[in-house]
Order: sequence, then C-alpha cells, then structure tokens
Amino acid sequence: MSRYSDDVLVEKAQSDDLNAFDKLVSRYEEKIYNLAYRILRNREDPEDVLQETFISVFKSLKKFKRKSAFSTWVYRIATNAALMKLRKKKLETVSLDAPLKISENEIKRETVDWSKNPGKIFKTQRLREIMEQAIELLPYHYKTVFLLRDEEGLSTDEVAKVLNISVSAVKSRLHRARLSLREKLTKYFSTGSFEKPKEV
Amino acid sequence: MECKDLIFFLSDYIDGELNPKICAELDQHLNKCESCRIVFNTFEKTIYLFKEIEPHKLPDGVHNRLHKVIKESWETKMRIHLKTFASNKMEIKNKKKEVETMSPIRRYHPLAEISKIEDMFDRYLNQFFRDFFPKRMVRGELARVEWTPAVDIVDKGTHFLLRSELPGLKREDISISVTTDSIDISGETKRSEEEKKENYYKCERYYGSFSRSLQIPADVVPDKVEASLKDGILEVKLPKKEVKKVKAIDVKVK
Repeated sequence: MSRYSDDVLVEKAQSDDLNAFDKLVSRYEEKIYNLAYRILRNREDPEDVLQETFISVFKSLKKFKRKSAFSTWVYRIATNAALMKLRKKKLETVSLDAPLKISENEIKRETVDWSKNPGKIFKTQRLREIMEQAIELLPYHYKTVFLLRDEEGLSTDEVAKVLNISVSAVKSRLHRARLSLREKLTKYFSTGSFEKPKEV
Repeated sequence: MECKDLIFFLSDYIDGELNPKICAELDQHLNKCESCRIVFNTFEKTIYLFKEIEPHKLPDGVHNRLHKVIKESWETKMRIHLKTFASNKMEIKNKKKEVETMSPIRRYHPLAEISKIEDMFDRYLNQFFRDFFPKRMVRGELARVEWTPAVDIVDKGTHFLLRSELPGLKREDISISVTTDSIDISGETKRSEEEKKENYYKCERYYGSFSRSLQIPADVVPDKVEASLKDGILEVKLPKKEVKKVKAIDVKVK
C-alpha cells in the first residue's frame, strides 16, 4: 500500500480505513518527530507533540477537504502543537519574533574557503553537534521556516501555507537563517572551535 | 553589482528564483571577486550540509505507542459510529469513555480553536449571502461553504434544552455525541435516487454532511441525555450535573 499517494490514502482513511491511516502516519511520523525535536530544543518531549499531532489529524480527518496537500496540513498542525508547548512553558524568554542579528550589510572579506575542505571533515560527529546546536539557537520563526524548507524540503509556497505567512516572509526568514548558519560554520572552520554564541 | 548586493540575492540565486538579468550580473561579479566567491561557496555548502543532516531515528517504542494511541481512538470512534438510532427515543452516543481512555494525550489543540472561529465566520457569511443573493450569484469559496443547522440552547433550570432545525432528516441520518461540557451534532442530508434523476429547473437545497460542535455552559450528565426528532426539529435534553448542597448545621455555642 506504500506505493499509494497521500491523496489516495487520505481518501481511504476518510472512509474509515485504519490501515490506510496507519500508512500515512508511518510516512510522516519520523519527519514530525524530527521537526518537533528541533523546535522544542530538547526542552520538551517531542513524542508528546507527535501524538498530539496525529490525534488531531485523526479527529479532523473527515473535515480535511484536500484543498491543500496532506503533508502541508500535517506540518501545520505539528508546528502549532510545538509552538503551543513552548508558549505554555514560557520557555522563550524573548519574543518569538526576535529579529535574527546577522551582518547582512557588512560583508567581511572572506579569506577561508572552508567549502573546499576535504570531505571527511564534514562527516565528523563534532560538526554534526555544532550544526544541531546552531539550528537550536535560531529564533523560533526563523527555525520553523528553515526546518520546513531546507530540512524537510517543502517548497516556499508550501512553507508559507504551513506557517500562514507570506511567501516573501518565508524567503526573507529563510535567507537570514541560512546566513546566520553560514556565519556559525565559518567561525567554526576558521578558528577550529565553536564558542556557544549568546542566545539571541 | 557590488559585494553588499550579492549577499542579498544569495538565497534566490541558489534556489533558482532570481531573475535572469540579476543572475547574469551576479555571475559576472562572482567571476572577478574572490571574496564573494568564497561567501557564495560557503553559503551553498552550508545549505548542502544542513540538508544532509541525518534525521533522528524514532526512539524505541515511539512508533508502537503512537500507533496504539491511534488504534484506540479509532476503535472508540468506530464503536460510537456503529450504534444506530433504534427506537423513537434516540440513542445518545456517550463520549465519556473516549475522554477517559484518551485523557493522557488529550490536550489543547490550537487548530481546533482556529477552525471554530473559521466556522463561525463561514456561518455568518454564508447566512448573509444566502439571505441576500440567490445561490447562482454566490461564486467561489462562499458557494462551497457548507450548511450548518441553526441551534437554540435554553436553560431550563435542571437541564438545558437544545433545539435544532434539521429539516428533511431522518433519525438514522443524525449522529449526536455528548461529553460533560460539549455536544457534537453531525449528519448528512441525502438526495434520494429518484430526486437525483430529476430534471432540475432550480437547485438550491443543500445536500451533504454537516456538523456542529457546541459548548454547553455548565456540566451535564452524558448518560442521562435524551433526544427526539419531530417535524424536522431535534430536541436534546441535557440534564445538569447536580451540585451537592452542603447542609447547614446549627452549632450551639455553649
């Protein structure tokens, strides 16, 4: 049944086919878990968000009109569930809209082209940790855009629908998130160390 | 193009969303500016690296627990679904059990709230357009907005009385579920086979599924809810939960 498209499975699930719904869940559970894991910054259990998301999906399944893709709808429910968790715990000490501070206008003279480093340098566990930490430190609104667009591979339009923001907002947040991540990696590769930057 | 412009266009350039003219200028600039080329290379590599991060595998048990929870919700729903209205007295589906089994994972769902507001707007707008324009004039989104039954809820002291207009519906077309503080009414209006074949000159009536979820202002006892359907009006009696009164005791002061 896994060869069926989301649409076909959704239709089956809407006519009370549990097996089809299970397939849909299996198709997205890991993605949603990862998304929740990164949004929640290890402060909350992503499993809660995972369960809440799919119970919510299950309950509203009949109301889902398939005007948008099933994936878009699921991501939307998941990001909202994760955000609610953060809000409830009031763990974000600053506004979720806090701007991302990057030096967009003052481009430094770059001297180290670390992108040409030998491949094995990019496969170290240390780099992975650094990258995960870098994502973790992005403010919420940049992080969600970045995760959905670059990690989950959604299109700009889809991300805009999931987060209910304009396409240009997606583009600008994505761009700023990417710049910020590049700066962090550049710092790591040029100094060989990675100081934990102050949280923005 | 200057160096500071480049950084502005980088994402669009890499995503292939830049207009060809600026794209050409950028190419030209990259060719002659070593520093920008490094910025570009490292920017592109950053995106690539992050895209390649291995996702976390689901920890042990997460998959099974998730599917178990879903199966449970599914079974609860099916149990409710399979019951039919047997006698004149309508059977009320009691959602209490569902609440109990699911309480560990029932939490506030932000989207449910949003859809409630949406429903409300849809209903008002739809009503407005239905009242003021013949159906053919209503195009696009609004024409597709579904029908929802109108509802009155009256406080009768010991119970709430809910009345709803459900013209043309049979008992078996309606499904009601009640929790201690909410009631869902849903169902489907169907066109008969004969009606389907008819040659329509005008077709304004709504056919299809509908649902309404309403909050009840005070706690009720789902087990004791009664409902009846007569002449297209659904009446649901929702007995309030008794609040035990504390007896006043006289205390003599010696």
